Amino acid sequence: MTWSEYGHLLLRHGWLMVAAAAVCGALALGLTTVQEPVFRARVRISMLPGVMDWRMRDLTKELARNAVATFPSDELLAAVRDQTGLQTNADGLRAGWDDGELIITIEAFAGDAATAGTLARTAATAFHSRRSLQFTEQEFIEFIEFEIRNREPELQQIAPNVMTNVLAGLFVGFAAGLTLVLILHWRDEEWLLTRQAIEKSVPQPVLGSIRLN
Amino acid sequence: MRASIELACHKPARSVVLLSPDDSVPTVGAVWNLALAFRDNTSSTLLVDTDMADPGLHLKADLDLAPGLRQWLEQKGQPDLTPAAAHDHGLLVLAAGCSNEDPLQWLNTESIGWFAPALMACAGRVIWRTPPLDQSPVGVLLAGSADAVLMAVRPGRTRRSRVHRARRTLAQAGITATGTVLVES
Repeated sequence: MTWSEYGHLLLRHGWLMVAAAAVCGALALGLTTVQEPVFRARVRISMLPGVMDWRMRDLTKELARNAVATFPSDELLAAVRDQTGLQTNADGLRAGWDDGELIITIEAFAGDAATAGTLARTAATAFHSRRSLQFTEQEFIEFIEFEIRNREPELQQIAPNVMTNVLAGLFVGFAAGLTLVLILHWRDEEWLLTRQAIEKSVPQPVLGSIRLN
Repeated sequence: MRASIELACHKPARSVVLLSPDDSVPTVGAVWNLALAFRDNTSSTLLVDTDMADPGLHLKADLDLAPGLRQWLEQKGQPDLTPAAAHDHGLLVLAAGCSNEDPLQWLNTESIGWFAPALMACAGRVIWRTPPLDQSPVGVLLAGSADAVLMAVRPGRTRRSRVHRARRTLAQAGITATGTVLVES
């Protein structure tokens, strides 16, 4: 196909792409209004080496990675449930480790901000106290500074994300419209629906048309 | 239409073959209306139905299926042929003479060599209805001696792949269609 043919195709069927994108964008917007909200609460725990040398820094990182890898343990989940009286599971809590900032992030997810905040605060406190005890037993506590940076969790609504949903809807709609246009073009060409398609398929000139009675 | 065809074949189209790539084109109606387009007061137009597997021109002309082309070929052109005239239209029609038979039994390069000129002598212009090219090569055989070879295409019903295949079949026989005719409802 030449660029000019692509241009004709867009002029003829381009509205389909726009319409499909608009419909899917509107659907995504509609879906957003009925989507359950999800709040994220985040507590930061710093874990810094007491002495700034490479060996201590590596040891601290190793301890932090191990702590994050086993989060949340069954005991910690049980403790959070006991203390908050809320039903939560391993999917509702998450921990991450920032190797550059040397910060462990404890995140909790829930349908309302208060619950997410309570879960994150309780989980962070339980995690901090258990790990502090462990580090004390292992005699590491003298060499690291392990403390909760923000007692009040940072709260953010992460879903529904209106912009992301609408953009995704528009993209999906545009892609679907484009697919539809290509299928229509194939149909026109294969079934010789337009005079251009016929003239392209036969080398001889079209001499005229006969109407059937 | 008539002027376009004669302009494209650079001479008076005394023998016109209408080819269809497959059975998507209702050739009976197309040939009939093509004949009406060619009809004039100075010369007669004869329609010949060579589709012995699926004849149809006799129905359009309100004639009997037999006697027709098959009987005439069977008797080697004897007695002299008198094609039946379709009432009210001024067209001569030679029916297929049989149905559900392979036209290649009767129509081959040898028989076409004598019967095509003989039929040309009966009328000022002969228009041939042929079986679809994907079913029988009779159309290709007749196209070799015709003044105008028309490829019938029905928009929305005929597939491009079939048209390409028909084109290749014609090219293998060294025949180039004069032009394309759209058959529309």
